[in-house]
Amino acid sequence: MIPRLGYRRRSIWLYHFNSGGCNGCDIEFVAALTPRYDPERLGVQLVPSPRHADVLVVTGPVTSVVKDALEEIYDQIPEPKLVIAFGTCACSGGIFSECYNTIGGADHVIPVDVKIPGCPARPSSLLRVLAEVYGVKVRGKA
Amino acid sequence: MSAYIKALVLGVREAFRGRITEHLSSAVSNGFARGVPILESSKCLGCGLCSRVCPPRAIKMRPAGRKVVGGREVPREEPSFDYFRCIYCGQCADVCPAKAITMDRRSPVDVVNITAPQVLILGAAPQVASFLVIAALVALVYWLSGKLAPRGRHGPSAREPFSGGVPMSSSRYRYYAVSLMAFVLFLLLAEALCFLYLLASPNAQAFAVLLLAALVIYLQGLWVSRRWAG
Amino acid sequence: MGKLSKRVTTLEELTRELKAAIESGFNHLMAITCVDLGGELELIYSLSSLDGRPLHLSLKVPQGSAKVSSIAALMPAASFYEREVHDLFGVHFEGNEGMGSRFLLPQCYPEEAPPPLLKSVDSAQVRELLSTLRCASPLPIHLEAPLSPESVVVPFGPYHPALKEPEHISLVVEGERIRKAFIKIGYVHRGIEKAAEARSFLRDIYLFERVCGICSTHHAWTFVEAVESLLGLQPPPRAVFLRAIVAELERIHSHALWLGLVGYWMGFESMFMWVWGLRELVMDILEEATGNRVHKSFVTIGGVRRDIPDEKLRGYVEKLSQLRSSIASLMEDILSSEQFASRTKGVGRYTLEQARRFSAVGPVRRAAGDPYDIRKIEPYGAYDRVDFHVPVASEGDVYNLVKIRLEELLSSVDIIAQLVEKIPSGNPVPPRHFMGTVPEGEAYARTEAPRGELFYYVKADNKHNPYRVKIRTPTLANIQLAASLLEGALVSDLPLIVTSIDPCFSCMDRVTVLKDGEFFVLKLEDLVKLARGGRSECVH
Repeated sequence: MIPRLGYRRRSIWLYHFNSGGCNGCDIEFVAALTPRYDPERLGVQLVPSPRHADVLVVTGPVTSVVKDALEEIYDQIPEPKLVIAFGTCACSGGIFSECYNTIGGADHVIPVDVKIPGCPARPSSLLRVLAEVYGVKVRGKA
Repeated sequence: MSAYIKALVLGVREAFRGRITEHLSSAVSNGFARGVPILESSKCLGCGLCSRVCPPRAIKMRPAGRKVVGGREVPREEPSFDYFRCIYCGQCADVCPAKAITMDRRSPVDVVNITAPQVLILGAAPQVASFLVIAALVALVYWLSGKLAPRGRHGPSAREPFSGGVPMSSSRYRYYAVSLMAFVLFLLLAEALCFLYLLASPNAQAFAVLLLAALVIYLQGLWVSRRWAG
Repeated sequence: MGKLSKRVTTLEELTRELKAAIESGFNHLMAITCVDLGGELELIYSLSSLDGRPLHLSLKVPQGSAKVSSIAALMPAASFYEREVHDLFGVHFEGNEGMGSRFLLPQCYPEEAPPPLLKSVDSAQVRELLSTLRCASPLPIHLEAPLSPESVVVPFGPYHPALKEPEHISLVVEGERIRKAFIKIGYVHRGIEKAAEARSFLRDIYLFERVCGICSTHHAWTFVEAVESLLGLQPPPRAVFLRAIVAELERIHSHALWLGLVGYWMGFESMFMWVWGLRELVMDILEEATGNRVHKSFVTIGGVRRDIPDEKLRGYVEKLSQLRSSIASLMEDILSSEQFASRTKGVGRYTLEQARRFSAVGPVRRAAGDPYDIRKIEPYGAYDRVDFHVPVASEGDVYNLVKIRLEELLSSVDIIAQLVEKIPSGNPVPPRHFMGTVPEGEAYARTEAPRGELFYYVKADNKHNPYRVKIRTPTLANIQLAASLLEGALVSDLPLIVTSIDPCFSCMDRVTVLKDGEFFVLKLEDLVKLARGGRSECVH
């Protein structure tokens, strides 16, 4: 993984965007913030405003109504930023790709850097990705 | 008062219980997950049942060589999995009549390359991209000026750019060493400045500055060669 | 559950028949289903009595210019269901104030455009139309009475720090009190019911699982129950027990999730972290048993997908009893604390009469006093073989809802222990995966999802794909009650009141749109709830 956040990678602030998903990935994302996975040891925090964020985590297939909101929120996040598509639906639309109110994966709307597949994606996968962004060698000692 | 004592007891008890936080390097894959479907090509019959049954239509049948059926050669198809559309339900492995699909019980991030599709030269870090672009541009400039330089009396084509067409020879090397050095130093200085600028603000304007720097380097090269030739 | 037996009625007789039905005890409106039969539309009003007897009234109306008188005056719960049918099928309900605006579909979807769920309309057609429209405009506010000089209109959402799921609420606020709220939902509406008609029954199980990530097994199970009644198939007894075990595990995980989130919305983050830390135990058990933490894909037509050996089951029961004692002692400490009681007692108070009027379901109904639990009144699965107590409180407020959901969580552990003791042996996996056709017929099924009564209607016509599937999720039934609760409430109590019904917007968005035209005060909690619940049901 390319550490494009530079020195900011030691304090990654996440903003979560639910683009119309079933809540499975949202709940797994919230579970990734709980003591079992403890992202705060990497300096990771969930922030309420996109202006404070470094990383945008998108879950859910993008529905037609939230597409504009996704673009606006992406624009509001200052550079350098990283976009993580969390879950199969955010990667490619998943099982909803043929539904009439969904557009597809998040990469139809904004550029995506990391796609984490899984239905729902496991919270430990998010931790793995964040650890790589941080610069930790995950296979060795943490 | 009892509430405080209860809280104290709770705290002491929890201090001696093991932590519930998972080690960062430990089980992303714990062996219980349903896993990732992997095809074993040699067993596949090409029946297409997995593709028909896949809920998100993540399996597409692709032509894959030929096989012999009843003494004749017929085209063979094989499923190809789109792991970013797969919901990891395992239905394909369940219905496969030849048991050619096995579920690798690791997590998708361990099996699928999750950043590969996005790593393009322009998607790479701006510093790396800019360095490569400068290097490519300078090489292009070098090659172009070699083509555009006037033909020397001693040979049909110029062999050394910025030299006015005189072919490179070891005996005359010292004549163009200095200007070449100046050119290289200027190039390095320009690149260093661009790097610093990109470190500070990686965006499109910085990229334009890079291209401008490359142009300036080219012009400098021309000036050096003219001065040398003249 | 089982095949549907309908009583046919006509436009003129509808109101009279409904009144008669209500008087004879069928006072709970389960759902209003609409089916496109070609030239005409059939509306099925599904009612239930408190002891579990269903009654279905069928009304056929011509397509295109269908005008039906609304029953919202008789049963207020119907207003959202009618709005959904209006959005998706184009039926006009006279007397329902919400006919002028969109409920589930994007606001920009024009009135003249063909309603998406008609058979003549293709999914791709609707998709193309939606891609040309700009769909994210906020709801314009039309106020019939002039605002007081102190009123301020606060737009809330669709993306807000307090919201976990997108929705938009325009609040008319006077100081700390909310006077009016205009809700726009449908941000999570995906178009699932329509997509289900284009997929085979087996693939549809996975689609319906993903209507909601929290109660996914119940969605899959209810659908499979309806399909099995159409096929006349009886799953092996061991499969029936295993389904019930996994469903109870899901209830434990869902209630633990909600308990944690109540703490989160209350500002008590330690409670959230503690409960979710304990919840991971259940997630591990689920993963070991079924292969996935959330979308378990355990139920299939004719049985379950894999067998769980008895020793493993006994191991789970032991782990669960540890969990039970940890959560019970933790919540006992929390519930007895004064701060918790003062923040939750009396907040979002509602009476049994209000709950009945809006046909609330699940713990929300039980907190008010009705022991309305589908596991008891219309037992399915193995619930008739176990002994358990349905917790009921006397008055609905957040504190009682916390107590009830906690008791349900603890009793689920006991239910699982009983099921594991009584489980028969045998092979629960069906001999082959179901890839055939389902004979013609209609069936309904309902189960007690963690949030309440979940209702499915399936119509098949001898093909590989279902003809129509209709889902009525519990949050849709509860949100109308919650909306009325917000009137006059404080902005700061909004998150709690909204979360108290355990909303799941992904389930809801499938179908309903909140009332517009009818003014009800939404508290911040409502918004938060909406955010938390988020419906993501795809409405076809």
